[in-house]
Amino acid sequence: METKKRRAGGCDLLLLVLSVVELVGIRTVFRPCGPKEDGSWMNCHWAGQAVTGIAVCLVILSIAHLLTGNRGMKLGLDVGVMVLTVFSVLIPGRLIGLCMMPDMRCHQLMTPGVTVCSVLVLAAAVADAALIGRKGKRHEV
Amino acid sequence: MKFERQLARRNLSRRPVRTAALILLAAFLSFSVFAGSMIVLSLQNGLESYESRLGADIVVVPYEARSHGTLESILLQGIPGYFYMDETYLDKVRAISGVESASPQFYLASASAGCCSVAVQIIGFDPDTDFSIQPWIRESYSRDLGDGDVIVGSGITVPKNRTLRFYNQDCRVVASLDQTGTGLDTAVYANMNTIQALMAGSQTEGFDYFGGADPQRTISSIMVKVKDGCSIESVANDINIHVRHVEATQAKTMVSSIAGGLTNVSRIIGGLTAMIWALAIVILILAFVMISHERTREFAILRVMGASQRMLSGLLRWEAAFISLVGAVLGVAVGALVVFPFSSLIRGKLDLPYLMPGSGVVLGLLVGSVVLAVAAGSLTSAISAYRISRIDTGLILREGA
Repeated sequence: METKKRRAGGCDLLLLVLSVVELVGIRTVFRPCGPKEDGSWMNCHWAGQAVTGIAVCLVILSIAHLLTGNRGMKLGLDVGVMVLTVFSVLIPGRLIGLCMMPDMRCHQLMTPGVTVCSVLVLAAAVADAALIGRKGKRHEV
Repeated sequence: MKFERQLARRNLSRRPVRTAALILLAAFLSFSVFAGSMIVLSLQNGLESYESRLGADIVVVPYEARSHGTLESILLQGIPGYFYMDETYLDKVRAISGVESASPQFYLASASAGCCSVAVQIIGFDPDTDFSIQPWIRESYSRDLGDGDVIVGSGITVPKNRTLRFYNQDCRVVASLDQTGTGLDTAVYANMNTIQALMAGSQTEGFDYFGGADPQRTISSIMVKVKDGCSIESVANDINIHVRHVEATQAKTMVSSIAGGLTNVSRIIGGLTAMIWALAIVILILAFVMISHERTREFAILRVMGASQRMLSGLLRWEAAFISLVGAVLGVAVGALVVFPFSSLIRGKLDLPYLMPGSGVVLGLLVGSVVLAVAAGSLTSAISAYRISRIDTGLILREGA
């Protein structure tokens, strides 16, 4: 697991792009329902805030992943990304409740959008970890 | 066989761009089959569910409700609505010959059901005469529905205290119904006493839904069951002729109007899927033919090194199989990521009953789409495999020299 200078790979860039898509998505296309008439927020707003926080962490981890050349560190960052994506799937509707009706924005757009983005980030992290594992084995040989 | 497989894998990994482009094409093929079939099957499933949940032969509503399509809005899209008629119409309908049973229903739109909600449709029924709602309520709740108790559709999230508040009155949620894929998923069901209490509550709150009529003596619709052997059409006509200010519609007619819309959507999706398939297969055939043409010299050298013609055909077939398999799995995975999480959005946009098929059907469709894409990929490579099996090794090598 030596430190080695190398160019940013496809997985590094993919992780960063997908994390940014999740962050931008939750603030725009997949944003939760708006405030109520009295100005107060519904449950899904707090779920959206939590997902935003996770997406920010994902972007930071992805940037670190892009910048570091150490395979062990990359692997560690991948594991961190995987754990965060699981939480980001669980937050809307499971860890934090959403609105009552299924035809509301948080059910129709936020939950599926966050789920799809998180699954894609998770898949990219798993693929990257698998590639690092394979390269590590080759180096040992 | 093992050698051909290994060589095929190495060939593919040495040409990543070409391989990726072909995989993308195969993925597009399986995506269109899987996503298209899932949407069409869900629409058909939704229509069946809608048909079975109507549960009556004839639906009688006030004339204004029928002409404005309010009933369809409630049943299909879950848009809360209300319309009322005097309960004396119930006896008039029961008096028509051929009517076996007639049961009233009450529709009330809630103002709000507490936090994070929009108005919901509250449907009241008479437990003594009802034959259309109770059979499928019993699938989820076997006891009698008490006063103040409600059963909610699958789309309504039940609060932790299992209590919903309508018009300043608490209602205990005793069960949630199975999904129907229709507007009924966002409805709340209550017995006659509960709904009358809510009607009175709405009046106290200042909502005038009844236009001055006595809520205790009003109903919204009448569900009619026709005697065996009697024509549903003629009974509906009799009601329309003999009972004024109401309109009797055959449930079959309500379903067939939706079925018409569904057929159109299914045709469009089917047509698009067929077009994508035809296009992708033609492109795959062309790609394999061009690739094999480009690689004629490579195949000739392999022949000189002792590879049989059968081995070369096998090599191409393995390459096609690898590409199709990876592409098919990728396409189906992307299809699943679109169709499952966004099902609620798709249903909302289509405005038609939309109910996902069971897990067995979904699994069959997943496997079927992969198998179909792999078979199509392998078949498209057959033409190039046949071409290279007929190459004149000596001529090609001499030409290249």
